This record gives sequence, C-alpha cells and structure tokens, in this order.
Amino acid sequence: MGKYQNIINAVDTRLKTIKEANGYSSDLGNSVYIWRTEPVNDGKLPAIIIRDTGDELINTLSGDFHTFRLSLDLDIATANKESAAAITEVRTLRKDLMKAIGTDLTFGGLAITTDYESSDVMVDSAANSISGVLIKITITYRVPAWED
Amino acid sequence: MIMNDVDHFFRLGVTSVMATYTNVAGTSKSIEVIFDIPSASVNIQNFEITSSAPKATAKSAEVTDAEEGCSLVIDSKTYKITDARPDGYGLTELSLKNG
Repeated sequence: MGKYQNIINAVDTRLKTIKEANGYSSDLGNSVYIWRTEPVNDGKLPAIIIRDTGDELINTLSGDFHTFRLSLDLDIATANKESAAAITEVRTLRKDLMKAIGTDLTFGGLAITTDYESSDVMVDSAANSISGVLIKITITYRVPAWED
Repeated sequence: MIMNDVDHFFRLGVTSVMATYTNVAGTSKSIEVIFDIPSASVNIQNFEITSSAPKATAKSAEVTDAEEGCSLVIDSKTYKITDARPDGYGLTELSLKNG
C-alpha cells in the first residue's frame, strides 16, 4: 500500500477516535465515511465524509523525491429540530474535528504536515434543520520520485 | 361551486385525521387535516441527506390565522408550522417541521 492510501487510512482512523469517551464533545467518530455517495438519513447524523479531491506536486528534490500537497474535503452534517441548535452543533463538531487533526499533523510520520485551508457552513431545512460544514485541509507528504 | 367541494376531500379516518391546531396566540382547537410525510432530499455541500418534508392540508376557513410559529399535534407528535399557503379555493397547505 502506498503512502497516499496510508494517509487516507490514517485520517479515517483519526476521525473515528472522535468520541465522547475519548474526551471529545461528540460521537462524530461513529459515522465516518470515505467517498460515500449514498444519501445519509437525517436520523443517522452527525456524520462526516472524507474525500481526497486531488493533489499537487509542489517540490522535487534533485529529481529523487516528489513532495505532494494532498487536498482533502471533510464534509460534516448534523440535524436538529431547531436551526440555531443545528448550527451550534455543527460548530461543536468542527471543533472536535480540528482537535482530532491537531493531535498529530504528521499522522504518525506519514506526512510532513497538515494545513487548514478553509471552511464553509450551510444550513437547510426539511423535517429537521440540517446544518453542515465543509472543511478543506491539505496534507503535505514526500515520497521517492514516481512512487505513490 | 368549488368552495363547497372542500369537504369532499376530508374523509376522517380515510384521507384525513384529527389534529390539534394552536395559533401564535396559543389558542388551540381541533381541526381535520390531510397529513402526508413525503421524503425529501437535502444537499449540504456535497453531502446528500435524506429526510422528510411533512405537510398537512387543512380547510382554509379553519386556519385563517396560520403562519410561522403556529403548531399542529398529529398522533401525539408536535409539528411546527413553517409556512401556510392558501390555494384560494378553500384549502391551505401547511408546511411542517418537527417540533
């Protein structure tokens, strides 16, 4: 398995640690998906979907190493009867996510570092208010040239 | 006349149920509604979420003051009215949300 896949797995594993039992404010870690395309029922929220949306070669060292910046979208959604509460919840989930990522920016030495890029918050309404936040991060890692 | 046809849509126990309607002032009364819970899909960023969009159709004459902030209790479950849309022919569709 290449480093790219190992990093995705490490992110997945890290996010699954987000549980109240581990000192977080939510149990977001119970519903972590990678590239889930099937809809999630609002009764199963909160949940998070990880998407590796692309990478960029940012450096080559003497042609022997490639340094990549991998872009990840982390999509969180939650539901509540009240829209204000749904927004408050999503802020709590965002905080938990940031805390989880921040515990080790190298993901056990796989990466050089992890950077926060941006976030977008949304709220919509059906039987419940559903709110979400899309957090974009990048993970910088190095591999021997032409290895994954 | 269309107005007289409204009652034909409401057949208690068949197409309609009894509900407790409470207006913004807190005054309650029993009304007959046609209740439906169609599925709904909500997209939050790239996150597709399935939900439902409950709605009730009432006789306009019974919910003349319906607006956001009113509520309906149907089968012991409370719904907030988020929108009321009279069709101009005697029926009013009430958009509902879990209360």
